[in-house]
Amino acid sequence: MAEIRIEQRKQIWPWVIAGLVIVALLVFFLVLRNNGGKTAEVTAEVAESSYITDTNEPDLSGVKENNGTIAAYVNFVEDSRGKMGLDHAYTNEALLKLIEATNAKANEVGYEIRADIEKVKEYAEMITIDPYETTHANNIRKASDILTNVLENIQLARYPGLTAEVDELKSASASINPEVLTLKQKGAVKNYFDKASDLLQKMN
Amino acid sequence: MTDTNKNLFNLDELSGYKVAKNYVDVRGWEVKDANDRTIGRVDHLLVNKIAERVVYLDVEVDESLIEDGHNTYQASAGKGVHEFLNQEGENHLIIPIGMANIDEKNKLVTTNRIDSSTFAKIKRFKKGDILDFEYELDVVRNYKGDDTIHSSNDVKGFYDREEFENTFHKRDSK
Repeated sequence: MAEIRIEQRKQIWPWVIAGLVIVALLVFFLVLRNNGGKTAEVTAEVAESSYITDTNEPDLSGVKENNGTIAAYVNFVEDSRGKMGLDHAYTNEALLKLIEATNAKANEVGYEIRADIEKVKEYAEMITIDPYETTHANNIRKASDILTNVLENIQLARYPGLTAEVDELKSASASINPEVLTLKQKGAVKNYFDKASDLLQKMN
Repeated sequence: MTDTNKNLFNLDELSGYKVAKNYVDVRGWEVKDANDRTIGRVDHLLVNKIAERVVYLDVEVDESLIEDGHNTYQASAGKGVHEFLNQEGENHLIIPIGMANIDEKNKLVTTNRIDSSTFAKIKRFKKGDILDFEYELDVVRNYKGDDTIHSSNDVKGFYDREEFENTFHKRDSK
């Protein structure tokens, strides 16, 4: 007398599917988390590179944009090229116009330089407080260094063809001796404004 | 025997079922009658899903037995006692599980209640044919030699008969 019982097979598919779902979820979350981290890093890198050297942007050297603020600075410097007299009022005005022109160019290409501009404006302000202050050259130099740095960043990012002009501007900025009275180095200060004007004109 | 009364299912067609743990799967095993004569080989296990157990062994009949069936029929045709005339290709028959013994050691199924002459007289079917309850009843009545068993045409209670008896012939757990 025999008996053979049967039983339901243990269903493997639900377990297989559950396993696949778990693996898929794990992969999804791990990849998502990694991508999130990478995205943050990439964003930071992009932000940094945008500020310093965004070489993916096209060279805008040949593009004539005719920014009025830049034109105002360039014209101001051009008008004073023949004049040998240099006073603090001129320096202050030239510096303020250069600040505005640099700010306008930065805005044009999408760079945030508000902090630098605020600082440079403070230096420009100091120049006008006491015409006989001996630290003016020091303030002019600090302002010129900051503006040069901003213009260099813009050049590296958008105007790779203007390296020589930026080098000349850096050199002109370095020629302003913070230890020497401004009135005794009019040429260096004027030269700096001229070089900045040349650069901005080519960028404009 | 193509009625759709599905009391029985071939275990192979029930993909969600298998022979339970601690029970032997006798498919492929040789089947011998009461006289130790080979009847055939177990081809399928026919199960009743509600009872969750095998109720028949579907046996592919040995050629020699089929020959004997023909001879038996021809010899006795004049007497007109045979109920069935098996057609060519009809080489399967069923054995109620309670009428079989399992010799696990020799991988053999035996039945000491049915002999080859009984088998030869049983109406056979072709592999894959659907078996209706009328056929089941005829087969069991033939094996038992009693036309009166289970007077109802309803399958209810049929598998509780001794021919399908539940003796818990279980394999030892290993």
